[in-house]
This record gives sequence, structure tokens and C-alpha cells, in this order.
Amino acid sequence: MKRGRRASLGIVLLAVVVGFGLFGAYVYEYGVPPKLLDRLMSTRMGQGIAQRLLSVTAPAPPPGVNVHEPGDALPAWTLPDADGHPQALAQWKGRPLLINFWATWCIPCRKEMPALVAAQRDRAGHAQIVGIAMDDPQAVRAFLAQHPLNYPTLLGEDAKPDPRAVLGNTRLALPFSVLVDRNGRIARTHLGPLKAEQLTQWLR
Amino acid sequence: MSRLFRRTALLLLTGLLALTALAPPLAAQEVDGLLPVEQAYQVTAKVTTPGTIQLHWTIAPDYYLYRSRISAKIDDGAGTLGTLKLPDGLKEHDEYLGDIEIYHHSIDATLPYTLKDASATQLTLTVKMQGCHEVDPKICYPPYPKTLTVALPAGGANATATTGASGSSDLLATIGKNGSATLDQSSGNAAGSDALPAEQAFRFEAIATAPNTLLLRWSMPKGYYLYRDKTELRLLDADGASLGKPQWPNGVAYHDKYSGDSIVYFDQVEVPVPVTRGSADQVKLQAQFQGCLENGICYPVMTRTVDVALPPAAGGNAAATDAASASAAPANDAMSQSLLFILLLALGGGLLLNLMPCVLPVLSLKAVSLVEGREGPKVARHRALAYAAGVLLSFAVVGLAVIALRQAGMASGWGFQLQQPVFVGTLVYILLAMGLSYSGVVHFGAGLAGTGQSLTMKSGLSGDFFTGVLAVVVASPCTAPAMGAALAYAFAAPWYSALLVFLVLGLGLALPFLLIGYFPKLGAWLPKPGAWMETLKQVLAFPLYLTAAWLAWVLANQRGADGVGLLLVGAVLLALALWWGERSRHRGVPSKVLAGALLLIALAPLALIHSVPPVSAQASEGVVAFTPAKLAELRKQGTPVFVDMTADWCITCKANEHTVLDTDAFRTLLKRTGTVYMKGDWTNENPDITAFLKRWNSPGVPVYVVFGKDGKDGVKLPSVLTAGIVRNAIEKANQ
Repeated sequence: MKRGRRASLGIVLLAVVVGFGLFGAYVYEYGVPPKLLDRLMSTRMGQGIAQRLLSVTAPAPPPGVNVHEPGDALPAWTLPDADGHPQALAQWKGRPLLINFWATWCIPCRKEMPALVAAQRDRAGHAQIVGIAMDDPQAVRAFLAQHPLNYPTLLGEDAKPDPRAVLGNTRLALPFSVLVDRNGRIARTHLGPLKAEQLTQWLR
Repeated sequence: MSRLFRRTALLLLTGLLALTALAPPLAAQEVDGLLPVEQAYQVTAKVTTPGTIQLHWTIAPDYYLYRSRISAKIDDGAGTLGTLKLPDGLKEHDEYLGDIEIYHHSIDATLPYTLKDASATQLTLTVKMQGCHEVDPKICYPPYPKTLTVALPAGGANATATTGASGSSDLLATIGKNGSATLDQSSGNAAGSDALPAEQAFRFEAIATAPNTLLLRWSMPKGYYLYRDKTELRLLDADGASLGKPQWPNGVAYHDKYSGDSIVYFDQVEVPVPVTRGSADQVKLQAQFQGCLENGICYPVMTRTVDVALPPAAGGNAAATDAASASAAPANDAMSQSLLFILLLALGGGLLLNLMPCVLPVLSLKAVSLVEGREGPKVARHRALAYAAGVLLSFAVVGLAVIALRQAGMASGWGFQLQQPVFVGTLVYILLAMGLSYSGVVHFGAGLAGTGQSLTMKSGLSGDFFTGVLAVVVASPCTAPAMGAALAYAFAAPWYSALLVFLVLGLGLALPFLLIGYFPKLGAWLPKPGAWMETLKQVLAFPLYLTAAWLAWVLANQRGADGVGLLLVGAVLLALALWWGERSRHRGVPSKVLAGALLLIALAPLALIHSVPPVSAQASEGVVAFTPAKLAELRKQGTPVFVDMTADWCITCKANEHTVLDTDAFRTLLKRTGTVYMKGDWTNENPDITAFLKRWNSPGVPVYVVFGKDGKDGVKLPSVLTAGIVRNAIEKANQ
């Protein structure tokens, strides 16, 4: 009985060694299987690693742009809202502020919106979400008329230098979210849509 | 309780193994996970019938473009454009999103145009597009404008397309002499988003061209430049070595708004640097430098480190110097990764050896004595260490012997055995004999095992040390094939990684006993010797047969069907001799003499193979066979030539052919540029090719050299090719 178990253990060990060899060879040749990668990427650690890698591999900022990193104070930006009235970002100081860069044509941005609306509803009075549309003002107004949002939307297209680059997103990719703490300091940045649970954690 | 502990330990161990195996490729994949926008969406334009531009997009996998977000405009009022006709896209409907059409993979579209100036030979248009990445991280790129220059058909002749792009892998997309002009425009438009990553923009290499000279080379795509006076060189862990003054060639005086007036280099610069040797015959060179894209961005300080092997100092003959500069290869990531992979394989191979019938009985005997011994944990640990030392020492001795053999061989000029048919035949014989021994047809070293037993019975640390040595030596019938694989690697790799492979193989073999010494409980896990070991051994014979089959194929390319026929007859005779030898083990002298005679007869075909005439290199369509005379003639005529030195046994050459040289894109490139593809086949030794390789400081194949138009000097390409490298080189050669 015992002998049999040990022999089978040996076979299992052997299978593990051979299996690792084969898997290693596969990964070496073809890369990590996409499904496994997706699974790994959806964990919190995977997300952290991915965001770190994305920021490491971002292209160099254009000349004259001074990148503000987490820990730095948010630049004092004043941007027009959809009606053209200038709005200073500093007016929301005192509670966590989530700045979400988006555009009307960007599918992932629009898929992210219901979660943002829900988060603003849940955290009303405790945290503030502000959308900055990097898009044609007319398109933005048309979109807002169809899909009213419960948080303010500002127009960022004419801002120079591009606020996305200043916040470290030198690819100028969308959607892009930035969390600013109650003291007006950049707390963290995220490229790609935020999941509902990440939002809850950010705005806590 | 203890069972739970064991399970947890096993789980942890597997987890760790998985992490080590996964980590580097995962990181590598993620690093280039998000493509620069110009690589994600590549667009080309051409005009085949006057009045209509044909646009073609190539969209990288996992990326898409929005149909409604594609537009085109003609520059500087040269004419007007009609309506862009796009095919139907994939329709997506979402309650929240409405209707959206997107494209994957590729788009073909047409665009009518009318020109103000009917005699214009080209038109410039800007195509704007927007798209996203559809797997994590799901992001969208900012609007991406792309400026294309289209040649217009003159007199009804078909015109070809030129587009300016950088860093794209599509050969067609980037041929064109106006690359830098369009690059400047687009980088202005998109705030520098067209600039390449630093690694792609500035390639840095270093080799030793003589025992005391390094040659550094920076290569940049068009429009990128390097500052001379912002470059700093230093040696890391110098070991007494030091660098002299870099001998910069004449640069270009250039003014930019970042650094004012400075001396810069465009395209490529080669810088000889004298080096004073220290104790090591290898140096680690660190270069810091800065550069910019014309009218675009400047890069932060870049730091690169390369390992350069120095050829032996003066005193050796010329051949030795040339051969040794062979191992001078830039330490690039691909190589260190493949080394890591090979080390993992070696560790696995070493572990596997423990289960072989020649090793396991001795090992389990020792393990039992260790586990049941009453010496206490400290002594057990010492004994395990003594055993590991014995194993590692033996492997180190074998490894050093192989390396010494290789160095001696290289010095006397027979370093490249795979092109000698007799050597290939000998390898086939050895592999076949090893396979037959695994299959149980013949038993090598049966007598040795007996002496081994008595030695290992000795007690004390020296006994353990010798068990280690003997696990290697006595068990050589089982360990040799694993050694064989390491040996094959050792002949090709730099000496330090070869030695490392041998040591890791030994570590794998020593690991179980070492673990038992530290965690005696693991002793219970050691599989019991039994019939299954024999099965395992017999299974492992088949990879050996496969390797022999590969070598036979190599021989077929060298000496044709006749050579392989001889080899196969010889192989059968060898099997016969070994089989009879085994049977005659317990018979009289005449029987043994017969076995010896059979063995000699089996060796005869091997000698005959040498006299079979080599297969003549056949030039396939569009390829010119290499001869120095033909090359000189072509260069005299001013024809650009791409010289490819290859061999059937060279895996890198095959890989390059598969990915770059054997593609339609490459053939089109040759045709467009009028470049002659000249191929030298070094599968068989050929003194002309050997001389050519020596001239280009290479000990072996592949070697790729591009000779430019009008008899320009040749430029050697790296040994691992990409479409981009080849395109840039050929493009440059034609300027």
C-alpha cells in the first residue's frame, strides 16, 4: 500500500517536471496563453503590475511638459464646462476628487460611465467625480443631452499642454483616471476603465 | 499534521517553480503589450488607376478602428478629395452606446481625387483615424494623423506607393526616401507621439575587433541623431582593464534648441576604442548617451550595458584571434533569456537523472543510511554537502574538459564540426549507441557499477564525496546522454554559460540528496527503485533516436542520398555489433573477437562518407549562389547585393529565413530596390565562404552583409534579423 503510494508520487513528480518543461517551452515559444494572461491580469496584483509596466513603458513626454507624479500637487487648472463657463478644479478641494478623461467616441470610456454615475450617487457629499472630455465640444454637448451625467463635465481639448501628458499619460490614451486626495495631491493614476470595486476602493 | 505540511510544501514548491518559469516571458510580453499607435494601425496608399487612391490598413491583433472616425484630407490645396468609400464594419449595438461600426485586422478603402495640377507626380494626404485596444488594458488612442505620399501613375504606367512611417514591421509600408520629411510632419502633428521607444531609436552594439580594440556602433533610423559630447563610456567590474580615448569619426555640426551647437551623428556611427586588458578576457561596457529626433523630441539619458569578450592577447596565431572574437556577442535580452531557459532545462534534466536505474539504487541506499543514521542533523547536512560537492566537481571537470577541447579545436581550426560529414556521422553513431543502451539492447559499464558499489560503501565524508563522483562517473551510461545535450550546447555557447550549464545539470542531480540532508523527512518521498525505472530509461531512448534522425537529415543535405545510405548501413551494422557484443559477454574469446570485428566493419561506412562528393549548392529562383568573383563583378557594376551566409545545420539561419528572408515582403523589397540576393551555403566547408566570414569577423554563420549601390562598402547586419533591420539596411544601401 505504502510502496504503491510512493511509486505514484514519483510518477506525479516526474509528470510535474515534464509538464513544466513542456509548459516552459510553450511559453518561451508562443508567449503566455491569452486566457491565462487575462485571468492573471484581472487580479489586483496583476492590475498593479500592469499599471506599473504601462507607466514604465510610456513614451517620453514632449519637450516642455513637466510630468506630475503621484505625491505632487495637482496643477491649478481652470477649464470650460459644457456651457463655456470656466471652472477651477480647486473648487472641489477638501474631499477626494476623481478626474476621468474620456471622449464620446471611445467605447471603453462609455462602458465605464454607468459605474462612475453609480459611484457618484453612492458617495455624494463625500467624494467628487469630474469628467474631462478630450473631444469636440459639440459632440460632447450632444452626448450630454442624450445621456445626462450626475457629475460635472469639463472640456479639455484646448488645454495646453495636454493635461493627460502632464499627469503621466504620455500616450494620451483614454479612458484615464486620476485620484486627487482631499489636500489636492495626486494619489494615483489608472489607464483603462476602472472596475466598480476599484472605484469603491478609490473613493472610500 | 505532517501530511498537511507535506502538501503545503509541495504546493509552495510548485508555485515557486511556476513563478520562475513564468516571470520573464510575462514581463516581456506585457512590456510590449501596448503597441505605439503607429504600430497598431499601419496604413499604406497607392494609385493604380488615375483618379482613385487605394488605401489599405493593417490593424494589429486585439486592436480596432472606428469606421466613423476615419477621415482623409489633401494637404496644401493641391486638389480635392471625393468621399472615402469604406467597407462595412462589424456592427455593435448597445443600449448605452447606440450603433457603432468597427474594423479588425485590415481595411481596404478607395478615395477619389482630382488635382489642380494635372502633371503632378505625387500627392500628399493626411489620413486621420481613431481606435482602441480591446483587451486589458482597454484604452483608446488619441486621434492619429498619418501623412502619406503617393506616387501618381505617369503615362498610364502603374505607380508604387510610398509612405513614411517608422518602426512598422511592414516592409512595404516604409520603403520610400521621403521617410524623414513625413516623419517630421507627423511628429509635429501628434506632439511627438510618432517617436520610437529609445531602444528602437538608438541601437548600441560593441564587439572586439582586436585583442586591444573595441568597436562601438550606434544605429539610428532616419532623422534620429546622437550627440558626440554627451556620450560617456566606462567599464564595470573592470578587473584592471581600462578604456582609452574613443576615436570619433567626423560628425555633423548641428544646431538644435535643446543643446545649441553641437557635433552629432545621423544614421550610424562606428567608434573604435582602445582597451587596456586586465586579468579577465571579458569586459562589461556601460555606455551613457543622449540623442534626439530631428524637430521632435529629445530622449533622456540612455544607459546600455554590453558584455564584450576579448580575443586572446597577441602571441596566438591569426586564426586563433579570429576564431575567438566569435564569442564577442552583445549581451542582449534574448540571449540571456534563452540561457535562463536552457539552465531550467538543465536543472530538470539533472533531476530526471536521479530516477535512472544507474543512479537511484545507489542514491536510495545512501538516503536510507542518512535518514536512519544516528549522527544527528548536523552530520547529515555535512554528508549531503560532501555528496553535492562530489557531483558538482565531476560535472565541472567534464565541463572544463569540453571547453578546453573546444578551445584547442578552435585554435587548430576544426571548431565547426557540424559541417564535417564524418563528425556528423560519428555523432549519429554515438547517439544511436546511447539510445540502444537505453533501450536495453546493450549494457555499457556493467562492470564499472560493481567497483562503484564497493567505493560508495565506504563510510564518512570521503565516502559521500565519492558517491557524488561516482553518481556521475559510474552512472555515465545513464548520465552521458544528458551530458551529450549539454555538450552540444557547450560547443556553441560562450565558455562561461557552457560551464554554468554543466554545473546546473550537476546541481539538479545533487538536489534530492541535498534536500534530504537538510530535511530528512523528505527521505520518505524518494521513489523506491523498481521496474518503472527501466521503463523510464527505455522511453528516454526515443528522443535520442530522433536527434540521430535530425543529424541524418543534416548529412543528407551535405552528401545527398548516397551519404545517408552509407550512414544507415553503418548504423544497422553498429546495432548488430552492439547486439552481438552484449550476447558475447558471457561467451568465449572467439565470440568477443567477432563482436570487435563487426564493430570495425560498422565504422567503415563512416570513413567512406568522407569520399562521397558534396551536393552542389543549387541556386533557387531569384537567388545567386555566392562566389567571390560574382560578388566583385556585381559590386563593380554598382548593383546592390544582399549576401546571406547560411548552413542547413544552423538553426538561427533557418529562423531568419522563415521570418524574414523567405517572405514575399522581402522578395518585393529586393525587386523594388534592384538588390541581388546572394546566398552562400556553408553546410559543407567552403574556403571562399570561410574567407568571407573571416573578413567580417565572424566565426560562423549566419552572416548578413549588405553592399550598397555604386560599390559602397558593405554593412554587416546582426545575426538575428527582423524585417525592420533588413529594410533599413537595404534602404540605406540604395541611397
